[in-house]
Amino acid sequence: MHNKYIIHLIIASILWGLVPILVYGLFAEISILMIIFLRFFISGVVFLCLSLIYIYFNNKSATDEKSKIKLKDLMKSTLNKNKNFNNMYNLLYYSFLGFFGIILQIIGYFLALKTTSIAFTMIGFQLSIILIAFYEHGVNSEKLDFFKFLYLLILIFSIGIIIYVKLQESNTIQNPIMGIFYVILFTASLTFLQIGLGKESYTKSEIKLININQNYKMARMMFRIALIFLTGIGIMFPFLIIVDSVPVKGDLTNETTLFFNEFTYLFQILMRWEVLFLIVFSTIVPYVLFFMAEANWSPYELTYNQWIAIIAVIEPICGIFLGVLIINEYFPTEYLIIVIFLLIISILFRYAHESKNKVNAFLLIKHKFGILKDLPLKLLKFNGICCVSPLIGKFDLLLNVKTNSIKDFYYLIDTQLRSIEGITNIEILFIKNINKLDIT
Amino acid sequence: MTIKALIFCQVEHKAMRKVIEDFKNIPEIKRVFSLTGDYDILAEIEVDSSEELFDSFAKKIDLIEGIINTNTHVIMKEFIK
Repeated sequence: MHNKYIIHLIIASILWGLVPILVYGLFAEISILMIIFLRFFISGVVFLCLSLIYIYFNNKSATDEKSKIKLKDLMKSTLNKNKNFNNMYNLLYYSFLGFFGIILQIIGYFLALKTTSIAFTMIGFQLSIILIAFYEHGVNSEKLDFFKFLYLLILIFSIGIIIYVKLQESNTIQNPIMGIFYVILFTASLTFLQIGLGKESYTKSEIKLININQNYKMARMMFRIALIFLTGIGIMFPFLIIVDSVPVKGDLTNETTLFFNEFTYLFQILMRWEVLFLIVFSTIVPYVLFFMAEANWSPYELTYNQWIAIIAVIEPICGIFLGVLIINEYFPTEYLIIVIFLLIISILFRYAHESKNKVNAFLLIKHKFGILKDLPLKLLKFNGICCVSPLIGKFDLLLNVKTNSIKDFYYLIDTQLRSIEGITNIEILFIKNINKLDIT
Repeated sequence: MTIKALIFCQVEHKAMRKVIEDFKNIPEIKRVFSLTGDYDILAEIEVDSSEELFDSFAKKIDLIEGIINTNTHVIMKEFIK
């Protein structure tokens, strides 16, 4: 395997796949909102502390003043505007992701688990992948090629099988309509989160900081996820107060009442092994693994986001399999084998799509004198440019470019790069194959 | 101090595979890309000194049969995001 960090992503997905198993037994005793509160509040605080510890050790071992990470820079980054997300302040962008992307998603996820079944809830993951694929096709003009088409078809087929199997035990589900609504809520929030996370943008000064010290990226990621979790939890409280005041009673209002009553037993609940395991091994550890992978990803292979898309079905595979194996959920073996087989095959199709359709190229650039100081950081802000290397030789800069489609590639060159004053020549070299890649 | 350089190569017709294999056997060559465009191969070399860079060229790369022309650039710095 070229990139050892792919294994990090797979382990993290498997750990996330344990979530339904861990929480399933808790639902009878603890409100789902208390589980969500403890999971994300504690994880948010831990990530905040981890980022501060990380900064402390980085600064302790820094050889010069420039390599030190300043907390002020991290704080300042929250007030930068995110040009990819409606020019919203980063803090507001994080709050949106925290509440609409994480808290609402997990509320939908847990309520669906509680009212339906693990396998039926897992449909949400597949539906979200399909929605994101259509979004990428429609908005980002990503090619819907043969492999992607087959991939989506397999996902739809696996959803069909799960629904068929679960219809056979539908009489045991108390309120199937609400169950479907929760799966839809979970799907919509998960889709929003996945699309929203991809809208992260770095300012020029932040790219400069990353290039002075790579550790800044890791510290920023931990700080960002802490803010996402904590702002999400922060918004959850007024939301629950509103829900509690609604005269119509439903699953969520019952959970809210239970949640506020449970605050007296907060520490007893926190000390349960399932809750601790959920926080440590199914939240903190997977995120750390993801961050390590993202921070150290080699720019020459398939991108980090491409691999995230490839392994997206591992979580539902684990959920369905472990649900049957550990919780003894109803799912006839022959159907279980077919669903898992289809989902594994879908990984291969997605891999084929990702590796065949993305444009991977080197651009050799010549520019006028006097702009080298600012140009690399300016170029790195464009989507698709992964690496910029100033050169000594016939050309001045080498750019490694990765785009989702040839349309994006030409947009980058014709509209974005050619509009930069001072660039006099661009030579395109498409990468056919990577024949040797030493990862050190 | 590590020196990184990029060797852009134009290669004889049908010698592509052989040249790539030869490059792969040189430990100082860290990455080899097949390209379409003005150049056929890009090899990235990483050495500890200019002396070592000269040795790699004179004793290894220059001896690879099938290379028509090379154009070498030294990387001053790498900016990533």
